[in-house]
Amino acid sequence: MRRSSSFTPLARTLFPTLLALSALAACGDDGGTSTGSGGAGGAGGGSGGSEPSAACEGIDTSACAVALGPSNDDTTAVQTALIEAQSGSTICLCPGTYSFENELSLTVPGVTVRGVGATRDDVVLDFGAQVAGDDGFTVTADNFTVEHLSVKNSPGNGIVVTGAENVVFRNLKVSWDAGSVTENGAYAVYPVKCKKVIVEDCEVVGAADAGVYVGQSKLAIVRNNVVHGNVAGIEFENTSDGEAYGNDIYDNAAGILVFALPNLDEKISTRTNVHDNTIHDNNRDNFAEPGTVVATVPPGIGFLNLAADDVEIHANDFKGNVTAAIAVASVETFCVLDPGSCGANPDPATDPDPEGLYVYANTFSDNGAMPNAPLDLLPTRPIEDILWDGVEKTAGSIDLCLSMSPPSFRNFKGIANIGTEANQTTDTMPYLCEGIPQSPLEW
Amino acid sequence: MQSSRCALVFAVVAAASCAPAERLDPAEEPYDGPPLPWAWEPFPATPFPIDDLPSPARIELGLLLFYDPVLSRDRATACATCHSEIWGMSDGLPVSIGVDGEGPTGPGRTGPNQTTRNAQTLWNVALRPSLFWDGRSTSLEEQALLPIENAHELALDLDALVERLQGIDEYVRRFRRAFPAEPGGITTHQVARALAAFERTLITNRAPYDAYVDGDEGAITGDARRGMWLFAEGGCDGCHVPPLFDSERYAARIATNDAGRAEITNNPDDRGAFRVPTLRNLRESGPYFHDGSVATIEEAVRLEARRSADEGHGRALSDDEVELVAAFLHKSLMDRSREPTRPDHVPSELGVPIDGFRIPR
Repeated sequence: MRRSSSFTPLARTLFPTLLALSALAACGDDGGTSTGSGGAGGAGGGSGGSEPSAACEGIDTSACAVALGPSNDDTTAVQTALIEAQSGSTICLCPGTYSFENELSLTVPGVTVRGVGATRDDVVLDFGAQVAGDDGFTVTADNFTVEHLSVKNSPGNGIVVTGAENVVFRNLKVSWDAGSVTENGAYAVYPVKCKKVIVEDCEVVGAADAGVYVGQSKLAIVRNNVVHGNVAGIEFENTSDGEAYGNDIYDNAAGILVFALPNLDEKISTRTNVHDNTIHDNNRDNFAEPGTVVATVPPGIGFLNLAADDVEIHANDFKGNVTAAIAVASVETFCVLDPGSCGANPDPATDPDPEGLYVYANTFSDNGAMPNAPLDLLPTRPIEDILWDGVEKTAGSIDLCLSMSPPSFRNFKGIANIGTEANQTTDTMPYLCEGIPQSPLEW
Repeated sequence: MQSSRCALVFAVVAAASCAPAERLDPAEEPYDGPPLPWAWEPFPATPFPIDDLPSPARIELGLLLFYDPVLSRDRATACATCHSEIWGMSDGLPVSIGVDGEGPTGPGRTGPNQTTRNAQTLWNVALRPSLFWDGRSTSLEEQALLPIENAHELALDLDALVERLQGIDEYVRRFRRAFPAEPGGITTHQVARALAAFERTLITNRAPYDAYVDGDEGAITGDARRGMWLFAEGGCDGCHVPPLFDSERYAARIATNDAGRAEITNNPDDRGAFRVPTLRNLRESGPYFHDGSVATIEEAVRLEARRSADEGHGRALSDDEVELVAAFLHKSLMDRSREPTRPDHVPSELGVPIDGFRIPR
């Protein structure tokens, strides 16, 4: 996704590069990261603790290695601070709006980036003018925390953390001024291939794919967030040991997705615990970019499990999701709906079926009243609270446990039978069971 | 061996604050950073040929040429098609696909003109004494023109290129500004020097490894720290020599029908041997090896560690140890801070090649 923009930033971004390079040529014997700093930082100003920004006046910045305020070149100032950051240090951003023309990146571990305004709304990182890079802020460093600030208008993803251990997203707001439109970035809060991730107390609005997306990671907690106006609210994809609780998830096209998708490096999605969330009115039109996987998800779904194993869903409140509260499907079904994404390239290393689903003690009201295509072909209204495509390798291999007081349930026995009630079943008898709750995450 | 890299080092005016007289000889400067499993070497200075000192005008011209498909026969393919900043200055494909290709850069691009080898990253290319997998070229200025003429790459006759550029007012102006001492129109040597000047900006010396050796001990911790020592124990640093994590050696590591270095030396001992590539910014530039036959860093490390142990360099690494080495490579050698800014418009008014959006980046 490339943006149209003026060509002017080019000279500005190149010239510091040249200066840095020249400095390098002259003093190439120091061999360290500070080599380029004179050039790179020169244009921006505002970095370094010696000249505190006016924006920081009256704010306690004693915990900050660097305290920045908005300047006429925020891209250079903030990126320079990220390059020069020492491990274990905190970069503070004082109140104001920071405007970026380039992606920001951080590779130094142990860095905290913190807004130091009274609320997260006081410190705004605006990527609306961005002309270079795919994402707003990319991080490839362990022990990273970003907190108490807002990120908006990133043409690509919002904050992307790749391959890191111990990552915290706290009290952030990530949004787009345009609202919920296809041109927005795909993911707002996006840890991928990470270990030990916490996403808490954030508000995420308008992502054209998933608001909070945890991809190919191990150990991830998503809690106490407000997630609305996205295509998918929260998504765990090919992730193990995920937990989502205390979230308010509404007005997305789909509330929570737990996926095991083919053709990714990480093949397994197992042990996801979704509990104590409010998942209501997720009926927004699906505004995802056509051709993406999430674009095939019918709007109006509270929770969708696609092929993920050992998923537990309990104590959630499902309300007013017009297609279905909970849907469970095999990748085979998804491939029928979207042959382009997986039909030509099956991945033998990914198990297509969702084995080990335990659903108990949730509350359901007003779900399934007006299902969207293709589930509108189902013969009854409202759609049952739990909808299963019935695809399994052998009878019983899915291991569905609906507790001893099950919600309403329908197995439509494959997409080919979706309109044929005679071939389907709503019998919960085979799935009555007392399951074993997942043990707490071993962090 | 590092000294040969910096035969020509020029201080440019902007660096007035550190006069050459104050320079310490790297060999005499003691290393006082955190512990390292190998002898410390400073990050080398970028050498500039006497006739291609950088200027902003020249670098900017080089960037525009780099992204401009006017350099290709089909007017749709650019240097950036196979050396994209999105793909670690490579293209995400096992082997590159040149002119008449379909689809954006990245996996899924198809076309009739497949090259025979994996596109090499351009990161730190300025610091390499020899270029290409087989080392057939020794200067960026010499190298830059070869893919333009190659029938499977940009497939454009250089005279035709100059004619095209002369017909574009903005290029005529920009070349004049970039080469003020050379009146008389655009030359292929100028094209080569502008591209080389741009390529010399692609330096990565701000990775956590660089912060670490500069005294920030916390810049490499945990798995990555252990991986750094295992990298040495596995003998990896014998060929992938810090701080660039490459060397001028040629090694035959995987079965191939490609003659490799032997194409240049005609020495049968060099059959199937290829130049040791840099491991900096490796994460972005897969798949790996000269034929792009290895998809992941983990797989590449496993293969190399086994091979090294068989040959008696270092010791075999367990699967867990391979993961740790991979963590070091993933985390500690990444620096995209000087990633080029892709222009929205180029002087030819042709469309800048589109790049595949990469998930995960």
